[in-house]
Amino acid sequence: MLRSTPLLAPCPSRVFSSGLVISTLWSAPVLAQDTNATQGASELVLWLSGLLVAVMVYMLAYGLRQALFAWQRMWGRTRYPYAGVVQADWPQVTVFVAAHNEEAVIAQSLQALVTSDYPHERMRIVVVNDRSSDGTAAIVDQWVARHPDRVQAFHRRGGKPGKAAALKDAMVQAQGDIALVFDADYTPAPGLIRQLVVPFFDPEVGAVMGRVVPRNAGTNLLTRLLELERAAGYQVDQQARMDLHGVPQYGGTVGGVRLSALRAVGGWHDDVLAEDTDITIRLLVAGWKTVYNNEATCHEEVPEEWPVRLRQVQRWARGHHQVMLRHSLALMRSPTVTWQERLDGLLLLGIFLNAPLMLLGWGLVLGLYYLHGFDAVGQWIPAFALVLQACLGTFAVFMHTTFAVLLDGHRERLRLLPLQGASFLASLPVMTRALLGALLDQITRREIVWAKTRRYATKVNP
Amino acid sequence: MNDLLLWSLLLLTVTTVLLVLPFYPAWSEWRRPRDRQAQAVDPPAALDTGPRALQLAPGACFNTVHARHLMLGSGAMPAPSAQPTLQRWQPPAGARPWGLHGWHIGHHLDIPANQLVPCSLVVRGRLRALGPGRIEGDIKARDGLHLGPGTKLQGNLFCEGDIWLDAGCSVSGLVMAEGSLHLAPGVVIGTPQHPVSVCADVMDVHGPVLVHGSVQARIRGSVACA
Repeated sequence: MLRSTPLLAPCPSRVFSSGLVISTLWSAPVLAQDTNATQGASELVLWLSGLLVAVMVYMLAYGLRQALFAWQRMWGRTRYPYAGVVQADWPQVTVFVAAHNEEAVIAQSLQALVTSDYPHERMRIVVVNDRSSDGTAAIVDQWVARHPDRVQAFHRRGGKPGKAAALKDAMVQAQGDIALVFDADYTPAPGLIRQLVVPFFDPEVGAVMGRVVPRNAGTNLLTRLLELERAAGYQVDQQARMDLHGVPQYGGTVGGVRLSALRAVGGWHDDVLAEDTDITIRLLVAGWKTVYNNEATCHEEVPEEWPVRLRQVQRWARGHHQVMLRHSLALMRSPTVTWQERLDGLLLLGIFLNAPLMLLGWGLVLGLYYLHGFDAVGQWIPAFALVLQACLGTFAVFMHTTFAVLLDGHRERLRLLPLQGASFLASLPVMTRALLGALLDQITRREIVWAKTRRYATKVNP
Repeated sequence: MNDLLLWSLLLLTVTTVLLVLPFYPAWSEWRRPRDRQAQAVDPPAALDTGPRALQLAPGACFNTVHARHLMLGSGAMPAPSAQPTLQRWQPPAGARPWGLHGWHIGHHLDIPANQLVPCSLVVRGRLRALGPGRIEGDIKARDGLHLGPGTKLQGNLFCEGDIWLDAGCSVSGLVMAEGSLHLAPGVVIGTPQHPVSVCADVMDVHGPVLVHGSVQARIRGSVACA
């Protein structure tokens, strides 16, 4: 599933960040002169100041990115050239439904899929029942018995845990060159399969991603905040990357991959937590495009409890860091990648670094204060206060959310915007912990443990 | 002393109000939601194959038209010319294999006349096929695409820029240009058995042109007067 990055990836606005950077650069020599106590302390202050400048430059880059995306979506031209394709010689497609203990939701997902308007004889549904211990297998078998020519079961009783590992094993069931993937809690509309298949007629396209909207948005405050976050992530972030020829991200569900492209880049890797980001970047490095279709919309469930939400964020962040550590260098060196894609790809990979770097920035300022850089810190405090204000008040991410909600026509929902700060603060330590976890994973080469997100079996109110 | 206390209390009150005030709309929306329904998922438009046959006269303007047999412009379609003997095309140096059976070319590509291209092509530049000739696969070009007179394409055609299809070209698959699409007399797109979509921002048709399926000009489509 796509990481809905804006809320999790806060960036100070350009003006305030620039103020702090200039202030820091200006005060570094002052610090060096003022700390007469010891030469060592002076050098430490200088180093810490430099580090703070680096952090702020990094945040500034994201601030600019967010502002550019928001600008593009409000005033730029929407790019989706495949929109006019309604008639074609539709290819064979296999729809994989990843299921692990999904008895609460799997039936409604299959019901939605078998009512698709895609030519029935060219669409095969494969339910990847990955080591379920509840009633999922029985429900799936009933559906196979009811639609033997359309639904197949792939019961996986052992092997490595995780969606990527399960999909890797299930790919032997694929028919045709296009594999679409849905999670078991997704209920695709009748025309969705067609919408997702269309871009694959383009021989340069390796993956396609649709838009996800929460089905249980109105359940409680958390789901309402997540609805805002998802809107920003898809309506603004993903579509702007599509518009600007950047790197739209394949999100692992409500999307698909070209199997020949997938094989060419080494297939699914079962040792990653974020198989979707991993595939997006490996396809990009090899020259394949990922296309985002904002009109191909599908309902999903979002977490209704904070612990579930935080575990989900931690898994996303850790998986993202893992991909960043593995593929950043290859992305930099790839000869087939344009400069926009390279830049956007790197910023995409680094998106979950924002939270730990922001914490680091706060720590650096406090540290410098206690290292007796009073004069310099005295100059920083107003700038830092402005950055804090910008972080929690006028973040570019809030601009993203605002524009997304306006584009979706839900103006009233904007009233919840100030409370997004709470969600952000809750995610800060989790994302920082995820970074440390990913670094340890890389160093110790320990096995990654997959954590499933809880389902609630919510139905959409008519 | 009392003054100091009062001023402190006033300052505290003002500060608290200023801090809390922005959260009031959020609090009110949380307690008494005005818009908490799940976002509606709009179903895509139903498949519309349109009438069996339709003709757009010279001078007609259009955006979206569907028909099994859609004639753009007037006059008789030129008879297809005899296909000359074709030579098998060889990929240029630096090309790399792409997908199931294709080649990826990282620069402009010119295909000489009388060539048989037995594969798909992804060109990171401009592609020009002089024609006549035959291409048995899909084509994607980034900067512009020009199929010369009498070129037959058995696949889909995509371009991030403009596409020119010269007289007597035929394309059996989709045609999609992010820029403009120029169709010369005698162009045939799609087949009666497999109708396809043709889309571009601007479509400039010099008829007669035959399309089996649908055409969509996002900004403007026009059939030139004879």
